[in-house]
Amino acid sequence: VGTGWSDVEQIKIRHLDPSVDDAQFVLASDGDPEAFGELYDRHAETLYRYAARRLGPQPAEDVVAETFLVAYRKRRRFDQSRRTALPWLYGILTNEIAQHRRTERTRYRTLARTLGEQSVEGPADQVAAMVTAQAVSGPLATALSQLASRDRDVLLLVAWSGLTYAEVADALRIPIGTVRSRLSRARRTIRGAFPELAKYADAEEA
Amino acid sequence: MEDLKLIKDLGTALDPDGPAPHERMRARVMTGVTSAAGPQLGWRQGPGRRPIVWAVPLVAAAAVVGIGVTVAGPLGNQPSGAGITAPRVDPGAPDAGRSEINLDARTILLAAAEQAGKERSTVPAAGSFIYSRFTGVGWESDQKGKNGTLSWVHDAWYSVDGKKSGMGWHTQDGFVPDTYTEEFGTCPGKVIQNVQKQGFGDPYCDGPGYISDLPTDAAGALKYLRQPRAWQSWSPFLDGQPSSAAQRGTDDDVFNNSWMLLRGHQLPPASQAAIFKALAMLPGMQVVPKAKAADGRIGVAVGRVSEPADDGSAVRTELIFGRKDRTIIGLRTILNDPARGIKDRVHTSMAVAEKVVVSTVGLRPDGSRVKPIDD
Repeated sequence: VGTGWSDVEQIKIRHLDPSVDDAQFVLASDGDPEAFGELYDRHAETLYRYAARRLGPQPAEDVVAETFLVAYRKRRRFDQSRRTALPWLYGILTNEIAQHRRTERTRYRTLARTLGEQSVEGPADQVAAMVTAQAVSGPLATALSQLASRDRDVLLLVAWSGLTYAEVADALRIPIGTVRSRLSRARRTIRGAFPELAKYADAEEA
Repeated sequence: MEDLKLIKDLGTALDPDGPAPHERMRARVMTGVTSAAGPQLGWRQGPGRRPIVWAVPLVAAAAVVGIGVTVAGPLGNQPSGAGITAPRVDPGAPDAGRSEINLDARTILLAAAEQAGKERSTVPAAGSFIYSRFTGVGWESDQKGKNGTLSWVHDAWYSVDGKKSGMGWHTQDGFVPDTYTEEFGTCPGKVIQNVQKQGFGDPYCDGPGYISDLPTDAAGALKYLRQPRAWQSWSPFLDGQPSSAAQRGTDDDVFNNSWMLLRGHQLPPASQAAIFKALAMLPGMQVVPKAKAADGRIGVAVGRVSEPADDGSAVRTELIFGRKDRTIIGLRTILNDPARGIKDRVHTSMAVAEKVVVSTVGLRPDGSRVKPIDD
């Protein structure tokens, strides 16, 4: 083409940039609400799965939708230096879930019953594994229902969301030391439901 | 850490069976977000919309395609003997059926206007050409009952000042309807035969490519967009004749003319903004929160639905905007044909790939050249 390209001018080529930080979506949503849709598209599935584990599918739909609406209303409080908004969203979601505590406890108790009642069929080794899983899941669900909600929040954020301790602290706006203490307390309760896990409790205390 | 592993395993066991109901959830979120944002942005929510009328939906769609391919079914008021074939549908369209009025079309269009108005104003050199490329996918059937999918790439060169011959270059792959080699509507008297996979060219006679005199106010732009444009006479379904007076100046024409101007021409930013403001004045706009352009980009679409034809079929034509910056990225047509069991199927989908100024007709940004058609 030679020098012919000196007069070539890009007029309007705009491709979506998948590497853009969440902060930019939050920032852009101030003038462009649809930018918030990008934030939704990125994180809604993750939040929904977490919420569905805790509350079940239908309540999860409600709390996740409400989480994004609350996030939009509070978007100017989002720390723009954060690359990801996920901990922030988890924090809001946790608050929303807190309004469904009774639903959550009922869910765990129901699970504790149903998990113990399910019949198991299949090859012997699979049956053995599933029986073991059922034997564990029932008491585990019961133990979760007995946790203090603050402790349960920390425990499940660590175990199910994949957030780091620091991110959990960020999400819940508590010191990281508090995260550790709440997690420790929650795990002690869980282990209490399983005497065979006592050795881990001992190690934890040590 | 056995206890944490047990909890993680329990979490896996409690995972929902399927994905989140995103269509419902997202609509709920965006409705709330948009209604919350509107007053802050100073945008007035649009009044209640009534269904709109399309007199010649697929003729219009063909004009939008700009290549006059054999399209259409008996969906509109096309003249008889116009080479009409069965309608085209895309049975595998993953994002079909998402027409929901959960965002305000006016808000989207005004945002697009605002964005367009921010563009840097440049006047291309006289003698140069506006090059644009768009890609498309679709599904066609012909009068023999055959059907299939097709994809195409369309390059266009518009003479900036209108003093030179422009050109279109069309490359297609996939299904070829039996009527495909019929005369294409280009400049009057020009007959172009399709060359599958090799491309064909046709002269563009609707210069200039840079339109400096398009009004910069919404009312003026609306009046401009109602005027007949050269491409409205391209369709072979009109037997090479320009649209009748009764067919000109409709809201459908406004919609199609907007697309043709925006995709292939260069306009001053204020004029481009005025087009979007003019579109915002039209009644009956619908919003599709998640519309996929032919290149896979997801945008938010603003669409118009045709008045159902005698057989009940109707087409919704959508302009697709970038979800972040509201730049126009594509267009698609969605077919509803209850008699054939077709509901919200993507009929054609196009995407604007690029638009630049080049010095010579036939020159592409990658340096390749297409031989101009000698007219």
